Amino acid sequence: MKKALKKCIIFLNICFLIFITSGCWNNHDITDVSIAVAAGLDKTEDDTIELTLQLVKPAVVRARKYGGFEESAVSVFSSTGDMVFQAVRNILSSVNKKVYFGHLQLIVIGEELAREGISDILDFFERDHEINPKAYVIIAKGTTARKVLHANSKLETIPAIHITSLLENDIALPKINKKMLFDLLRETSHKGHDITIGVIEIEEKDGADKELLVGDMKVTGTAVFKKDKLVGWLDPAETRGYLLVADKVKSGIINIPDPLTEEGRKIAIEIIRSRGKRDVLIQDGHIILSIEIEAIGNIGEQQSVKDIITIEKGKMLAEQLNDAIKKNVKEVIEISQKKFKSDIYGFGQIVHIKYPDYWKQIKDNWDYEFSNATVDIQVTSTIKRPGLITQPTRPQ
Amino acid sequence: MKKIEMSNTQLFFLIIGFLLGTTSVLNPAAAAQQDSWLAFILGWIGGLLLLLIYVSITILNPGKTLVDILLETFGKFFGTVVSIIYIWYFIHLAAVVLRFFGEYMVTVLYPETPVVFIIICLMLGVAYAVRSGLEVTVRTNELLMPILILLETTLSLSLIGMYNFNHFLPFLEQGFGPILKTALTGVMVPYGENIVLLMVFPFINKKEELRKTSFLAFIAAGVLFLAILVRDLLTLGPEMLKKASFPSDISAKLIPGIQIDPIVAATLVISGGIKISICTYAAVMAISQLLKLDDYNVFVLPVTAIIVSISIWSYDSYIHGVQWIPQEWTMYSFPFQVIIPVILLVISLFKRYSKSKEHFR
Amino acid sequence: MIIGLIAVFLIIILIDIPNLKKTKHKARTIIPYFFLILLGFVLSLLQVMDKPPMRLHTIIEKIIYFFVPGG
Repeated sequence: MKKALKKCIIFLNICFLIFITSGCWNNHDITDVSIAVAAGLDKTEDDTIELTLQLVKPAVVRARKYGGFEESAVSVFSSTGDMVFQAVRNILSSVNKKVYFGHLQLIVIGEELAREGISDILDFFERDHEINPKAYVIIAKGTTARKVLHANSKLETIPAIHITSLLENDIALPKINKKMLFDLLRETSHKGHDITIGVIEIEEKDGADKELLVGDMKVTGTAVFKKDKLVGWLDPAETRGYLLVADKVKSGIINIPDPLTEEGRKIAIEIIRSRGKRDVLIQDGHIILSIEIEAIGNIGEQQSVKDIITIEKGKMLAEQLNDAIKKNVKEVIEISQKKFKSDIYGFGQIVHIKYPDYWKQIKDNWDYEFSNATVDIQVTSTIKRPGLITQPTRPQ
Repeated sequence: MKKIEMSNTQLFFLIIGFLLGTTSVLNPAAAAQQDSWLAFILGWIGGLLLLLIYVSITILNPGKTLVDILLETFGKFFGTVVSIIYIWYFIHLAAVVLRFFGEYMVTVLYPETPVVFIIICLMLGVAYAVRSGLEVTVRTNELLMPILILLETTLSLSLIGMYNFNHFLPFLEQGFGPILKTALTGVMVPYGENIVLLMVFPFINKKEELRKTSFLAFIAAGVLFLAILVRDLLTLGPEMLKKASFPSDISAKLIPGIQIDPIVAATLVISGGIKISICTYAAVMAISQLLKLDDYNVFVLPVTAIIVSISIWSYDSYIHGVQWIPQEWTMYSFPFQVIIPVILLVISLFKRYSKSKEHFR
Repeated sequence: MIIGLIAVFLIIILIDIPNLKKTKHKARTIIPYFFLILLGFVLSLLQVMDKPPMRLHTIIEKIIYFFVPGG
């Protein structure tokens, strides 16, 4: 009797364990769920929020891997709501499966909505547990997020992945401002640091009727914010000037005028390493924003015929590079000070850390202080290598 | 009474696991933002003092559990009354920890599952562990703790690329006061809860090693906590550290390339599980001691059921709990964690003193 | 729900019956045992029926503020 009872209990235990571990309330089979890979937020005319989701069709992704299947691997749906969460639920009126945000890679915010302020709409993404804080955020300039997410891609099965891999090119092209959701949220909560977000825009091409491709868009440039509202843009070159200071440039090309010829010939320097340091000094009540940039570069391309491999010519090149960088950086600082009055570099944050008492006094007035602060820019560059040739090849 | 024995290592890991409890996921010192590491260390020192009190009580009354000591010190009637109140405290403590555990699981992993269900699942495991006996529980813990430490270390190392040492600054921005306040809360939870261990201390094999082992464990736990706290602070930044419901979870989500945030949940199952198991064991053990019974096994299931219902009953919602725990819970625990132990210590010292005096007569 | 609750407690008692039979001091064991069961049952019942007399935290707060004016 006892043995039988024991066996019974063990059997029940096993049943129970199987029951518990194989599924529960929150079980979402992958076939019961639509996987959202990108989300877009726009403002509608009635002042509601339009949410666009790019959802993956896993079966199509697989089919395309194995053969020339042409159907789009994603479906795009939009819905509206007074707040983001509501819009998310409302999408269920067109999408038959509940949306899973665990693989969200990209969040696109439409320009109009950004101008009104993004803190509110980001709250949903911060609070929800499924969303990965490593997702990238970009602003759709001159277009809507909806349009961007409808674009197809000839290079990647999933268009959103095409866009995110474009963003990841920022290691080679410092005109791209890549920002993760987490960094965005962190910078927003920092006092004395206005945020910037990368930009995606459509390049004007002929044949305006044809389908929009990711290939028709570019992700260079930056959106500048004041508090949480979009106030303006930095073009790609200016973005580079900004990123140099923010210490985010890993590699890039700067064209400098050839110091040895006068015909406006250029030399392309490939930056292989750069460092940007920011500091704030307060002297006699004056705020001095100090920027130090170190750049190391190689010669990438030379337009003129002159031989430039001597020490003094190398030094001249370095000087030219210094000037070019300094000019670039100065331009952007002036824009942020005068035009936007927005401290996108986080100098305020440095004041907060270095002079906490002083910060308490001026933090509400920081925009003004920042705009009127003196800026001191120091650039040191070194040109290291000329590549495989020391003299350019030209017909004699 | 059943002869139970624990080795040094087992006690060592037991204390670490018990202390870790739920604090591994949410450290009360986080409220101090960039100075949280300082608030933590201060709280830890306070905890060390408390531990000193607790260990001394056990050493001065060798071989006796908390209940035995209470009965001896306060006499049969009052001793029983106080013991019953302690039983209630053990149950309540287990319930609160359990509730926190459930809330974590529901917030992070299973939003649609009712908290009750998760709680019951864990308690089934706990009940089984306690019913199997203290040695079994402690041995299992001995196995699981190194895994937990390994997991936490992996998390901390993976995030090194994201550490930003600026997050330590500005130092003492709000002055010392708030830090002390946070530190004080940090003493009660979790260190004050060590009082529960007084039910378990007597069972160590080598009694002389109790002091050494427990202090070593306390130091190790402190280091582990600090590592976790610092990791979260350096990764998330002071503001986010303070406002995140579960900072370790967000940190884990930031590891590039992979999504292993459920690891944090796994560590919580281990540490929360051991804490609740010990509290349950303490309650059940105390009951059987009061009734002068040999075996506490029968009582495990009913006590477990009580703990489950108390955990739901404790507070209404997580939001409420977040506010309630540092305030009312801390005040409510104070007599259990400090007042009565101090009284016990004083009386024990007094008795020892008068005993040695008699020796010399 | 309530039926489920009763079932659970019955199962608990069933599991413990062999142990209860074995104990040496029957009275001392069985009485407290059923007391605890009853307590657990009543508490769970109140939760399930959504009618707890007073939330636990409120009781605790009342006790604390009784001893510590101003809290």
